[in-house]
Amino acid sequence: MRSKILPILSLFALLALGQAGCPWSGFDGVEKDAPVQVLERPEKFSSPQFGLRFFMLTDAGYERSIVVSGQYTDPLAVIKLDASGRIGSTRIARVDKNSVVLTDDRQKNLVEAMVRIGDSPRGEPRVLVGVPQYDYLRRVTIPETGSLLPEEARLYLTRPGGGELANLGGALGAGDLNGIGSLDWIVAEDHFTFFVMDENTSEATALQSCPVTTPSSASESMYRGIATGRFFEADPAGLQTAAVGFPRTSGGEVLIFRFPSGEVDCSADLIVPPVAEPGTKPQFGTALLAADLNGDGVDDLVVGSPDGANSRVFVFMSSGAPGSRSLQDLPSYTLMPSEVDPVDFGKALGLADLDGDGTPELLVGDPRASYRTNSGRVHIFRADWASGGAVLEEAFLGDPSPTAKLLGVDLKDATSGLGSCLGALDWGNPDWSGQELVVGASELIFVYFLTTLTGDQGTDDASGLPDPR
Amino acid sequence: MRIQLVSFVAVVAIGLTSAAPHTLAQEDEALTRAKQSFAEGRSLYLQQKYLEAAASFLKAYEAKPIPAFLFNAAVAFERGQGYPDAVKNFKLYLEKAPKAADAEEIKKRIAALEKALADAQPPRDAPPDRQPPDRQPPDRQPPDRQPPDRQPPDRQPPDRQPPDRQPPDRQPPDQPPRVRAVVVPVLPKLEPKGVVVVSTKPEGANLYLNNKMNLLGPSPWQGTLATGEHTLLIESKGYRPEKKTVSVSPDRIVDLYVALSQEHYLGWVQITASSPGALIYIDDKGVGAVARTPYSGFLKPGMHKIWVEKPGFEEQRQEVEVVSSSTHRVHFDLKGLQHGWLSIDGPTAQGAEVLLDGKALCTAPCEKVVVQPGTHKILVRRKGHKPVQTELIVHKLRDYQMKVDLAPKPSLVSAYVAYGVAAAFLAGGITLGFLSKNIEKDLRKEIDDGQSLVGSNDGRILRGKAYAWVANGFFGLAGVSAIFGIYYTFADRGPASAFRVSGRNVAVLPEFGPGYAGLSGSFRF
Repeated sequence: MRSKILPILSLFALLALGQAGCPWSGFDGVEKDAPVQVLERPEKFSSPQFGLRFFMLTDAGYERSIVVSGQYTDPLAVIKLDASGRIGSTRIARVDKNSVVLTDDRQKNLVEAMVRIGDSPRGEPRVLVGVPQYDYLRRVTIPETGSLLPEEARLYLTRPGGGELANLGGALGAGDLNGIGSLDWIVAEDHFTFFVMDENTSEATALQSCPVTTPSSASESMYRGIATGRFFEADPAGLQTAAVGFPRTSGGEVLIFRFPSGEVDCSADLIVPPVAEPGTKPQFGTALLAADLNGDGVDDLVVGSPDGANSRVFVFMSSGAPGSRSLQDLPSYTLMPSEVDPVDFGKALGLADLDGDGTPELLVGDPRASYRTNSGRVHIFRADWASGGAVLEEAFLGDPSPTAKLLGVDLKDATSGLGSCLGALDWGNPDWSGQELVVGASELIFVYFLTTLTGDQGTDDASGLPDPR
Repeated sequence: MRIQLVSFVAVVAIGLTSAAPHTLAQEDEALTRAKQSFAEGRSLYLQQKYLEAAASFLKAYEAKPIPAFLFNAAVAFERGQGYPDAVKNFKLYLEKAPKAADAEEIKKRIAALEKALADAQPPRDAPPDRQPPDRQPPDRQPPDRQPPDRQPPDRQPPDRQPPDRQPPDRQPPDQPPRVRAVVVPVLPKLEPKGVVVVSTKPEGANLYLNNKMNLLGPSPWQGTLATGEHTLLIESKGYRPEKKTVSVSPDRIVDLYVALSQEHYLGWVQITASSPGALIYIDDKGVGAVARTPYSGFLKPGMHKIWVEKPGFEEQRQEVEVVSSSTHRVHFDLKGLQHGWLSIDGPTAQGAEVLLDGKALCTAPCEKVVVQPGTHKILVRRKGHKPVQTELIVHKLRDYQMKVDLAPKPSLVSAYVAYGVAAAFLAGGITLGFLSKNIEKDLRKEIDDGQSLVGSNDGRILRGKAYAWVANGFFGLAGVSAIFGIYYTFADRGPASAFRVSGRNVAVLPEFGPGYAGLSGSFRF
């Protein structure tokens, strides 16, 4: 009997030993602790273009929420991250068959642009989404909990003087343009009709429009980027201005509109790209970004100009001269990849204070960076904008990673469409003042928890890197 | 020691009925007449004069009352169709020799003959004065009397023929019915027996047939023996034992006379026991029993060991110092046994260990192992076979036969295969588990060092998870295989071992016989 029991006991002892040595759920912990959380499209969110367009709701107090655009019957989703940075919950704004035009081609029903607009009467944040394929807008309220509430099926605008709209809602902007304290919407369409809508009005109609005149032929014009900012330092009314990019005109151009006395000044200032290389056709104005990079209180303008190997990003710093347009005609800085060849460099722009030093790092997306791997790339420029804008460090995410490093950290994750959309969120880590980087790809969203960055946090010195958490 | 040799040995006259009579002066006159009558009867029997032969046999019986003469007379009557006389003499034969070896056969023959005679009886209204021929006693029948149905009509005595006898077709209706013929069924053929007459000088010597286990009785002795050669052992106290060979034939009387010579060298031993028929072993049990009690015979002077054993009694042993020309009486007071026996056997039980109440009892096959009365647990086990256990209530003087059929244990090959599979899965699980652990360790190290941005979709995480899942699956399969192994190890598969117990009683009964009285043992199944 003993000869039978001993091998059995030995076998079970080995079994227990082996079981003890093998993790059942250890890798789940690794996933949670991974500094890069990869968000996959929630199964109930039917839009396949997950990650192409999103923005944060940090200003609404939704610190860990990402608003993702969709298509078809799921035009919008709000993803709330859990404590480990993974998808905790997903709320989707659905529309029924009667309220949205359904086509067989899902790509055409895509929400092309989103913009944060003013809160609802109950104080809940709202977003405006544009569906340029069918020239309508949609306003959605995002309560803290519960279902997302589309306020109306569609918002239609009418072109002054008649005629059909083209590509309405391809880009959206919002700002207090008329100086009455509420956010106004800036909507344009391809025929240079420029709408400014006061959201305080109950009717969703065009407030004003002005046919834009540009040096380019009308047939080639198509607006893309819209950026609102205080480009005029000494505007006594403190009104915001709007920069609208028309990248499909010859070489592209950016128009700066002012809104004196609450009305649009159709005599916009024109910014054209610097001297282009012969034979190139830059998409100047594809992406616009207005931000006070140097901290002088006046917004600066960053303009993306993707053009294959000649892709550039131009930074127009404001001069700060009172009473006049402070934005310089010529770019203060021209950024281009130094180690890799660009393709769509400048297609997307973003800002994030990754190292927590108070100076944002400029993020430039190149979603089609590699034809070989069909993967995108994100370039990160850490510069001292206040003291001349010298680039202190340049790194990139994506192919051909992992040779590139950011602040001494290897960067990885090359995937299709990486860099289509860029953003940042503040995770609220008390030990780390830097922001988390959010990068969209074709079907994924990456959240980079850079609290593991090494170096001295908050120093501007190139050698001073943030401390690890 | 004084040894006086034999004065003489005189033997033996073997008289044949057809031969000249022996000349010894001691020959019995009656025996001589019996021999003459037997010889006449035998001669007539061979001439098929059966009724005359029967009369001669009866005459011999009158001279020497040896039951075999009655048997021979009955046989002759039956052959001569004197069935009533045959029946009568068969009955007389059984009366005189109730323990004859052919007693049962003769009883059946008597019954058959009586039934045939009853079937031949006339109806009840027959005249009472009419005496059927078969009613006549055989001793009154003249030797030359022929059976009535075999006598020709012209030889019938005139006084026995009815004067008004008419032909059958003229017989009036009031004539008494004729006696019907006796129809005897076919019976085994019998022949007259030979007779053996043994006389010794001195008389009273013990006569043994072939060996000392078969005591014929004291001399003089007359009787029948089976046809063929026999050895007679003759022993008498104070005389040298003799061994004689006789050839028994049905056509003669064997007359054996032995004059024993005196024996002064040997001692005479009389062995008795409280139970007759006990086996006697002398000096060496290995040679087997030499006689049964009661027994008397010679032994050489000196110390002798004597064992007596009998089923149902305890074996006893005594030592006796035999002195020349002395008589020694050795008596054994046999005591009944107070235990039972157990015998265990079976074709698959050879070499099996038998445990009684947890203690080793014997190794099968076990033959009549002593077991005390009471309830016992009996376990029979053998390597490579399934054990069998039973509870047996043992009574004293009961012999239990246990037939055991031990079924082979199921093969452990399946168990070993299962263990092997379990070990393989276990080894695979441990290997993959360590690989998974190493991957996790590397990832942790990278994360903790902060030198690289490890994504939650890192391929190593998926690989490590896969390793962990497969490892855990292997552990599960190893556990399942181990359980199967345990099942195959301990499961009682296949037929179970079986046994069958039968018991037979060893009874001790009082028994009385000529020259002895005591207890006897017997088996009852």
